[in-house]
Formats: sequence, C-alpha cells, structure tokens
Amino acid sequence: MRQAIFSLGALLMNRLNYLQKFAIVLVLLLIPSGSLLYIVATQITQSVEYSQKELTGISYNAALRQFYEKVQSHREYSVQFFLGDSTAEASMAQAQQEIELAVLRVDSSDTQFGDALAVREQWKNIKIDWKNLKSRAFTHKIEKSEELHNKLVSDALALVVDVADNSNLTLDTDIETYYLMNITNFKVLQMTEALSQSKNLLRSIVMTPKLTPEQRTAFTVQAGNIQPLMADIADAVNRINTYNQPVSPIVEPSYVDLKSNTDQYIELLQSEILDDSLRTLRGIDLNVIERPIKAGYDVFDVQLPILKNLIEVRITNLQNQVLIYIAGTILVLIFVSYLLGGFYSSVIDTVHTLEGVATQLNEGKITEVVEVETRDELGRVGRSFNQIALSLLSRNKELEENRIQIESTNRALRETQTALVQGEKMASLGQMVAGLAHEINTPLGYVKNNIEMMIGNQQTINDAVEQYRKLLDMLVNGVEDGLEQTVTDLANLSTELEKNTVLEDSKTMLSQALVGTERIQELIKNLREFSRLDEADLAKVDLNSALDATLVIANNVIKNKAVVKKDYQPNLMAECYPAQYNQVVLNLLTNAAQAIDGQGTITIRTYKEPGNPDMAVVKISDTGKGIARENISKIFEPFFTTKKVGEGTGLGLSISYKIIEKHGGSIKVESEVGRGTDFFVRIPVVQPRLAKKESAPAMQPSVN
Amino acid sequence: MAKPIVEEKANILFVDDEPMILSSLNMLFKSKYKVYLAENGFDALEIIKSVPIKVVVSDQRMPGMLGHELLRQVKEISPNSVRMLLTGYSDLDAIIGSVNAGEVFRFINKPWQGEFMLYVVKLGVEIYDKVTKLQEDEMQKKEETITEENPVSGHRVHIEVEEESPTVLFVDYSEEETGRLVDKYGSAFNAVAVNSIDAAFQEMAKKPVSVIVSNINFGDVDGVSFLDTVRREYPNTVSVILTEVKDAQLAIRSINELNVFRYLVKPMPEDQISHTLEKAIERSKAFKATPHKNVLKMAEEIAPERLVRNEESTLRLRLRAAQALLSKNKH
Repeated sequence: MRQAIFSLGALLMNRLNYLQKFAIVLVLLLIPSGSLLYIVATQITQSVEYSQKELTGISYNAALRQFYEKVQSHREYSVQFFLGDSTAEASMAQAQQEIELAVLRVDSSDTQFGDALAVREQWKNIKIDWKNLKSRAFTHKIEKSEELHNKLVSDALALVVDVADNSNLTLDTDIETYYLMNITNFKVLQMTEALSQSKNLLRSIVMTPKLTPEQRTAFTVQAGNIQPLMADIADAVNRINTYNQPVSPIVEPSYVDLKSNTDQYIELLQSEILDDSLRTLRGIDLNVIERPIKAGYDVFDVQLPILKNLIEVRITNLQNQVLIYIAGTILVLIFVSYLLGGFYSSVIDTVHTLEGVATQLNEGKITEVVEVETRDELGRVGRSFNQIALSLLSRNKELEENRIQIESTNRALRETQTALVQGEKMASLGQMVAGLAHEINTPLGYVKNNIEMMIGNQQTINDAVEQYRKLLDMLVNGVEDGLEQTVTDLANLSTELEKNTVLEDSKTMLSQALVGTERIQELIKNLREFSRLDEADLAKVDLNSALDATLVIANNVIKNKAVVKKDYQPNLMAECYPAQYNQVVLNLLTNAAQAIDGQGTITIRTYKEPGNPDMAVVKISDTGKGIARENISKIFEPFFTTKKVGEGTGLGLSISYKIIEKHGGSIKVESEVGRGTDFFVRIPVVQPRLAKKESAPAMQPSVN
Repeated sequence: MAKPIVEEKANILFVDDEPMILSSLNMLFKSKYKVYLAENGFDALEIIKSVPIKVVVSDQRMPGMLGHELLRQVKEISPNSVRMLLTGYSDLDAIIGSVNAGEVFRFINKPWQGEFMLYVVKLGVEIYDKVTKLQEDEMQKKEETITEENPVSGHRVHIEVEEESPTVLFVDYSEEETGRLVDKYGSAFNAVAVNSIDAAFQEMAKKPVSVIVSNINFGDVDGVSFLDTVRREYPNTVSVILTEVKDAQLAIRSINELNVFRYLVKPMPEDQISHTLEKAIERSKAFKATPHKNVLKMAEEIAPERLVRNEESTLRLRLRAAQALLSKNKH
C-alpha cells in the first residue's frame, strides 16, 4: 500500500543523492513560506499606507479648520463693519492676517498631500475665492459679502468632507470613524456655521428696535437647523460610545460641554422668539452664543489628536507585525534548515561511517567497527551492518588464523617433503650402492680368490723349479749320489702337478682374474656413465648408452627377476640432464623388476616419435602384475604406493614425473592387470635454450 | 698321508650365477672335496636331491630363485646340510630372509678370504658328520631303549626343571609394549618382561627360560654380545631379536656369532610374533631333547677356540654376579 502510493516519489528520490534530496525539500519549504510572508507583508504595508493616508487627512483638516474658523470670524467682523461699527475694520484686518496664516498652513499641507488626496484644484479655487473676497472686503455690499463668505465656508466644509473621504478617514472600519468623522468634521463644523450665522443674525437684531417677521423666521430656521444637527451629534456620540469604546471617554466631555452650551442657547433663543419680547436678546451677552461655537471647535480639536494617536499606534503595530512575521518566518526557516542540516549530517555521517567500514572491509584492513550513534532506521541498518562487519571481522580473524595454521602446516609439509625427497634420494643412492657393490664384489671375489690361490700354486711351481735346478746341478757336476732319489721325487712332483692341474689352473686363474679386473673397470665406467657427476649441466646424450649404463646399475635388482630384451634405434641422441634422466630410468627399471613376481621379461625400446622426430621415446615394458585401473591415475601422485610400509616412499614416480616435466617431456603409462605395464618416457631431442640458463631442475614433487 | 686314497671326499655344493666364481671356488676346493657346481637354484636342488651334500654355499641374488629361498628348500630336503650364504652385498632384507627362512649357519661377504672359506666349509662338513652320527646313535638308542635322557655333555649343566608352561623373557621394551605382549601371550606361556640386562640375568638365574626376546639397541652394551653371553650360559635358550633397528652388520653378527633364531623388524604383525614364539619354544624343546640340533653348539664343540671380546667378559661377570646374588638369597 505505502509502496504503491509513494512509488513515484521513491523513484525520484532514488535518483538523487542525499544533498539533492535535502536541497529539494528545503527549496519546496522556502518558496511557499517566502511567498506567504511576501503576501502578508504586502498586505500589512498596504494597511500602513492606508493608515498613513488617514494621517495626511488629519493634518490637512487640522489646518483647514483654522481657515474655516477665521473665515467665520472675518464674516462676523465684516457684518459689524457694514452695520457701521468702525472698530470692526481693525478686527477685519486682524482676521485677514490670521486667514492668510491659515492659508499658509493649508498650503503647506496641500503641497505635501494635495495630490494624494486629489483636492489641489478645490483648494486652489477656494484660495481664488478668498482673494476676490479679500480684495473687495470693504467695498462689497453687505449681501454680496455675506454670500461670498457663506460660499467660502461651505466650499471649505466640502473640502473637509472630501479630504476626510479621500484620506479614508470617513470609512475606516477598524475604528468606526464614520460616526466620529460625521460628528467632528461635518456635524460639528456645520454646527459652528449655524451658530455663527445665528450670531451674525443676533448682531443685526441688536441694531433693530423690534424683531421683524423676517428676522423671527430666520431665527426659527436657525433653531430648526441647529436642533437636528444636535440630535445627529447625540446619535453619533451614542454610536461612538457603543462601537468605539477607546475614544468615547475623551470625546464625551467635550461633547457634553457642546451639548449643554448648545441646549442653553437653543432654550434662550426659543424663549425669546416665543414671547417675542427680545428683551433679553437686546442685552444679551454674546458669549452665550460664543460658548457652543467654541465647544464645537473643542470637540474637533480634542478628537483629531486622539484619532491621530490611534492611527499612529495602529501603524506602529502593523509595522511591528511585519517585523514579527518576517523575524518569525526567518527563525522558523532557520530552525527547520538547522534540523534538516542535522538530519542530513547524521545521515551522511552514518553513510560515510558505513562506507568507510565497507571500504575497509573490502580492502581487508578493518580492525574494529565504528559505533553508529543514530537511533533511527538508518542507525538500525548501520548496527546490522556493524554486526555483519563484526562477524566478518571474526570470520576474517578465523580465516587469518586458519591461513597461519595452513601456512605452518604447509611449511611443515614442505620440510617433511624435503626430508622425504632427501630420504628417497638416499634410498635410491643406497639401492645404487647396493647394486654396484654386488656387481663389483662378484668379480672381486674370484679375482682375489684366484690371486690367493696363485700365490699357493706359485710356491708349488717354485719348489718344482728348485728340484729341477738341483737335478741339473747333479747332472752337470756328475754327482751320482742321490740322483735316483731326486729323479723319483721330481717324477712324483710332476705327477702331483699334473694330477692337481696346477699349471693348467694357474693359467685359468690368471686369465679369469684379468677378465674380472676388466669387468670391474667396465663397471666403473658404467657408473660414471650413469651418475655423470661431472656433467650436472645439460648435455647431448646417447640414450642407448645411458640405458645400458643404468641397466648395469640395476642388474642386481633385475637379474633374479627378468630377462632384458633391447630394441634400440641406433644413435638416438637427446639433450638432457644425464644424472637426472638416468635416475628416472633406474626408477622405472627398478619398478618394472619389482612388479614381476617370479620370472619375467623387461623390454626396452628406444625410438623417435612417429610423426614427431623432435621427441625421443624410451619405452620400458614389463610382464609384471600390472597396475589396477583405479590406481593408474594416482601413480604419479606423491606418496602413492602399493608397496608395504617401509618398502617405498611413494615418491619415486612423482619425482620422475617432475624431472621429465622439467625436460619439457612427459611420462605416459599403459597397463593391464596380469599382462604388464608399459612406461613411455618422451623428451625433446633439443631442449629449449632457456632451460640451459637454469640450474638443474629441482626435484621437488608437486603436492596438490 | 695316513688316510687311504680310497676314502671318500665330502660332497659340497656351490651355487652362483657367475661362472667365474664357481670356477674359482672349484679350484680352491677340488683337491679336498667333491665339488658340485650349479649356476641357479633349480639346478642346485636337483643336485641336492640326488647326492648327499654336506655343505651348501649359495649366492643370494640369482636369476630365478633367491639364495635364501634355495636354502629354505635345502633345509626341507636335507635338514642336516650346513647352509651358508655368500653374497656380494648384504642388504638387510637378504640377511633377514636368510635367517628367518633359510636358518643359515654362516653369512659370508664377497670378496672372501680363501683360508676362512676353507675353514668354515671344513667346519660345516664336520658339523654335518657329527650331527648325522649323533642322529644315527639316537635312532639306534631309541630302538634299544627309551629310558635314558641324554644330558648335554662336557659343559656345566644347570638343573633345569621341566615346566608345564615354558617361560618367555622380554627384554627392554616399553611398558606399554610388553603389557600388550604379556596380555596377548600370557595364556599360552609364562611371559616375563624386564627392562634391563641385569634384571634379565637375574630372571634367568631363577628359572629356565625357553625363549628370550630382546631388543638390540641397549644404551651401554651391544645386544648381540648380551645374547651371546646368554646363549653360552644357557645353550637351550632360543634367542629372538625383535627390534626397529635396521642394521645389516648387527644382523650378520647375530647370525654368525649368535645363530639367532629369528630377526624380526618392527612393525611386525602380532600374530606373526606369536607364530615365531611358538616355533622358538618348539626349538628350545628340541635343543633340550636332542642337543645335536643346536648347530652352533656343535660348531663350538668342534672348534672351541674363539676370540672373546672384552665386552663379553664384562657381561659374563655381571651374569655371575646375578647368579651369586640369587644363590645367596636362597641360602
């Protein structure tokens, strides 16, 4: 199930090394979290810009409010001026200066934010209108002046509304500024305007003795304007109290102040208008109407900084939020990267450790395993691997011990072999000496005996000669006394010599002794031929002569067992190490003789291999008991023997095999139980020149 | 020249595949003996069968039949013929074969000394004559009376009590080996094992020993000398050498000086040892019953002069000491 689901992933992952795997995982983690962070940061930045635009609106409107108030004051003074108050001219000039200051302040804000709030044109028009108004401030008719002033005020109020709208202040859902703006920027400013107009109306009333019906209507309208405004404000304040808890405690006092002053004025106005006396109104302290106006501006002035502060706090919070997001994300990424790095490092370390162990194992250099520290699946694999390594290690150790043991066994075996080969050499030497001693002692036996006998015979002959001389003396000197006796003695002696065949025997003894010494001489010659002690190097040898010499050495082994038949190809020469070659032939002849129970025949044939004249073959056949089929393949193995313990080392044939092999030849055997055995010894007529450089081939049997 | 010419010459036979050897020997002996010559074993056997031959001297290595095989057959056909081996080279197998199969009287190496040859052949002829005469006397006696036992004449005689079970003395083998031998043969005869020469002497002084089976490689003394000392003192004790020593010279001495009954080379199958022991006991009994069968003793009676080695004198002293010790204890 798991494998089926993840087969594609596994396919991909299997193609990558660990560094690539981790890189992929890290990249896949970085891209979405980076994008997410970017989106969040962008959104927050937009919120910040949104709020900053609100701040521009606040600054703009704060400046505009001064302008608005001063234009109202200027209108009031111009009304007084037109009513004939000469002191009003100075106040107008004063107000004009203040308006110019306010214009400068609004200009400053406009330069900064006018484009952003899209109100530059509006303000420019207001400034033009003001210039027009100012230039003819003292020359307009009162109605025209009032109309221009009223337009300027309403344009300024419209600008305030636009600024509030364009700067998002009206509709900031976060702090429910709609109501706040409604009260502070619009309702409160409208309120001050209504009160201000009411105040101007009041000033004109003061000038007239009786309240005209037009004036009464105007007052009623004024009151009618102010009352719904106040109700709206009250409603908005309620809403602020409900929705905008943080602001309400600060707005509330100024609002309470505004309400009470406004209520006072409305009450006064209604009572005066109702009883129509205008008593009170004539002597009215204009401060009664001045107070709600001032309270209205107070509301405006108290509210703006609070709002400003709120937005600034919000901006700070948002900016902090971005920082927290960025820092948090970076921290998380760093932490994750760190963990991944650790993971990678642990994986790589384990893998490297295992690799190292594997390499060492492979090179056979390992002495101990490295501890794997990870506890995960890979660690488990590592520990299994370590166990394998440990068991390999112990097995290696066993193998090493076995190897050492085998080496020492081999060494012992080699030593034993050398000893055995030496023993075999000594045995064949002994055999040779035995044969030779026998061959020499036989002629020596009769030569010595004959000579001993000859010494005795010589005495007899000397005695006879002495007698003859005695007889001769007698005859020459004519001595007759004892002559007859001497003749009789001589005749007896002669008969004795005749009878014992002394003279005849002596001849035989001497001639046979000579034959005997000649035979000994011949034997010594053959011995030299056989052993070739003075020719340890490669030599060209007449194989037939070599065979004959060896036959003499082997004679005492062969002669009581077999008749030797020879079938030699004349002048069969071959290069060989004569002493070693003869050793092989002696070994084969001895074996042949030993294979024969009772009497048999040994046939020796020499010839060049048919079809291959470069090979000289000596074939030694016997009529012995033959070699059993199952033994034929083993006869050249070292230590294989069918002889009784102590009668043969089992090395003879294996050494022979080795010698002929070194000659570049071969020994072959054909045998049949009951019929006999044929050995074929093939050697090249000419040895490769290489072989000449070497010393005589060592006679080590090969042990497989 | 007191003897009349008509006196018959003794028949002797030489066998060798080398005609010149035969010719030479013929010339040496023909004046005093009737010499028969044969170039191989088969011809020799034909002669033995047709003529009473007193001494046979054979070569060892000959085509057709080895010397010791020939002598073995000679022993069967003509047991009184004195058999000698004349060989060019003494390899141990030939020597052991000649002892164990042919029971030869002498082992002679080529080239030989003419005088010695004449001497041993003469000795052989005399032994033949004496043994034959004793045999004839015995036959005659047997016919006359069966009562008297014929004691060994002319020598000091120990009172030898016939025992039911003959004693076999093993000298100088490992405990394990003798233990095995005793276990195996203990029931057939009284087997005793000792591990030194002096212990052997003491044992032999106590009671008669039929067969002594001995090693030959003692540390201090030569085994042949030891056994020769024993044989001279107790002529009816048959000696068997059982050893791993393969020494041709020791083997030849054990024949020529000791007339050892068997020379066995280890390892030797145990049933073969057992067989040899039975034969040896039989031989010992025969020696007691008919002393003339002890060929060496006959030879010594005929020719007592002999060089006694220093070592043997010492051994003799030790033997006497053992005997003295024993008799003292008895008193």
